[in-house]
Amino acid sequence: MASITLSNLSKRWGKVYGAKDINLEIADREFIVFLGPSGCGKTTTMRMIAGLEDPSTGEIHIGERVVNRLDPKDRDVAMVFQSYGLYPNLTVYENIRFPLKVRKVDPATHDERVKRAANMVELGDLLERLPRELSGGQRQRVALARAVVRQPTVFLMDEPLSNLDAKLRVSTRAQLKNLQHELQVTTIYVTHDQIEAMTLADRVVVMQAGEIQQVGTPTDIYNHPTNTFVAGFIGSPAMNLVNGEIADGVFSAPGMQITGLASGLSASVTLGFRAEDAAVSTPGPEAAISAPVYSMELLGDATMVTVRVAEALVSVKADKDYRIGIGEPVGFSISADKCHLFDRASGDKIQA
Amino acid sequence: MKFKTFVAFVGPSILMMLLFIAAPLVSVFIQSFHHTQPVYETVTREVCTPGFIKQICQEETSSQPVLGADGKPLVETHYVGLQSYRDLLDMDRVWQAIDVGRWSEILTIDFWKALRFTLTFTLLTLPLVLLVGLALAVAINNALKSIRGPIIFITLLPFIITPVIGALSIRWLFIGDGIMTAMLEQWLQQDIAMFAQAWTIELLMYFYRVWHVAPFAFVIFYAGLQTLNQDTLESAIVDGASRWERVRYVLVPHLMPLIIFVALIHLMDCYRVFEEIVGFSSQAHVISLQWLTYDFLTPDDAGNRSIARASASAMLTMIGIVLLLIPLLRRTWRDHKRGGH
Repeated sequence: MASITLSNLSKRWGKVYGAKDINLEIADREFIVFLGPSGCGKTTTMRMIAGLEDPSTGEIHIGERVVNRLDPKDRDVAMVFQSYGLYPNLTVYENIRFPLKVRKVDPATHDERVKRAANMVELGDLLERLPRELSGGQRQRVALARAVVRQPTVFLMDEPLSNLDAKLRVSTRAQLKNLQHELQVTTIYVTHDQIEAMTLADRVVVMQAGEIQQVGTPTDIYNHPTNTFVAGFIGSPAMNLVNGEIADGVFSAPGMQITGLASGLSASVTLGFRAEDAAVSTPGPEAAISAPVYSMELLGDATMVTVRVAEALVSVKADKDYRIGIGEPVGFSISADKCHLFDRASGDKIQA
Repeated sequence: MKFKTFVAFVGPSILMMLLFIAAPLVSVFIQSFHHTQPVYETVTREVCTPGFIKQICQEETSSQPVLGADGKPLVETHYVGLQSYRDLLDMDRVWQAIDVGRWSEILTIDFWKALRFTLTFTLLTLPLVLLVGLALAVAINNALKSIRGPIIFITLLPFIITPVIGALSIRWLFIGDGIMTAMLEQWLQQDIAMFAQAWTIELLMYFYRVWHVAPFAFVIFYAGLQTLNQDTLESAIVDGASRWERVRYVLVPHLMPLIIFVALIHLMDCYRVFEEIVGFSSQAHVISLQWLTYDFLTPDDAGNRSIARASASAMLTMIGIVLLLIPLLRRTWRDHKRGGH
């Protein structure tokens, strides 16, 4: 069991930064998720922890050790890859046994450990198959068992669910969460899927362009995004963001006005609010927004109504029985205390 | 595909194969059971020389070729069964040598001498070519991207050189006063004659063939490495596999179909070894089966070619190749039946 500390970690290729000045403390047994769009440096950071990529500067501690100079095999980490990385010529049993074999673990214990790991991911009856005879989900479970079998101190998972179909992804996700709870191993999980991040993580690290944007619990980053990037990335739908001006506690944008915000600020800002923090009301001067409906989407548990405000699309969740035609006028009421204000130039949150 | 279209595409190719491969093969097969030779007749005539009182006359018999109407010797072909094969294999002498226990005597018979060299040559160069090709491919695959192109080009050069020219240049490097021989002599302070005994010539031949064919293996393996799943390789790194274990458990299994392919091609090519014998002019010491066939086909002093024996030798060469390929083909077939990727 081990904590992980990244200090001033950077990876540079020429002038391009893959990861820039990453500082992060990961507690023992924590499930941490690196979340961000493609090319944000999340995988690069994980690969540096695994030892598959050399950092340009900075230090990586696993437990008490600085592991920068250690080979991947000496770091006591196990990794699960997006495309499984199984050995196609070996059976499931031999795949799971591989780390034990090459690490010269006492052969007498192999059988028991392989079977225990296989049972943990419910592969018990597939041990004699070859990887090509398995489905995607089964293959990924073999990769998981192979990671589990030698009881490493750190699990690294690089988008392990991305190659699975939607339904399988949900069940495998639950299995993964349960497995980590059972094994109590520090886990770093890389994904671009914010739902995976929200459901699995103890803490989420949101990254963009090689830099950490925010670190926090899923609730934290959902309720208190530190900048417009995080606000616009987390949540489904993402937070509504509207550019406008604030003066004397009144936010105004073309076709939109919200009163009762913190006074004493007059600047160009971006206002953000979540779809579920607003409500549909009658159009008119009392409504914060009054505009024709741009689209109506049925989500099942709610109906989402979208209108256009200036260049931005603003969505609000209404009751699941609410119906309205496209083009009909609609009003949105937004309570000021649920609104987030961001500096328009920097995108950073303005503290009230 | 419609049957007509299929025939239109495949027909010409099948026709060519029948005409230029199957037909000669059948012809050689038939000829190996027949013997063609000029027809001789025994002529008896009285030869008289002048003498005192009366000339002295003697009856003389001589055999001479029968001439046809066009003035050329007549030839006749008759079925001899396996006689040509028997001549070639010379089993009587072989058994005799085995009975006496003098094994080396077997190798004085041309066919067995040629077979010995052909087999050693094939089976010795095969692993070397595979190993050198694989090592080159792995090394170049790990080299910096910017220098890969030029290195690949240079590596491929030996493969481009015409075989006979390549063999000749090696021969001239090591011949009596060649550069390499001169250097070695200077270095070792002793006389060296690379072409005076069989084993040094053979060494040079092995070296030449590996040098010539390894680039082919390299290029095939290098292409195969490009499709290697990086995740699998990195899994192995994290799982704790050493460099050697990664080659053994990830690289080689991935390249196995290509390794078998290169081995098949190499076995077929090598068993027909010929250029080396000609290029190194080694026939006094070392001969191969293919060269033996060629030797039978070369007209002797009387202008006769031993077509029958050449045919038999060619058939035996072919049988040898097939025997060598069977294990590999069986493996491929087994993999194929188990269902590939």
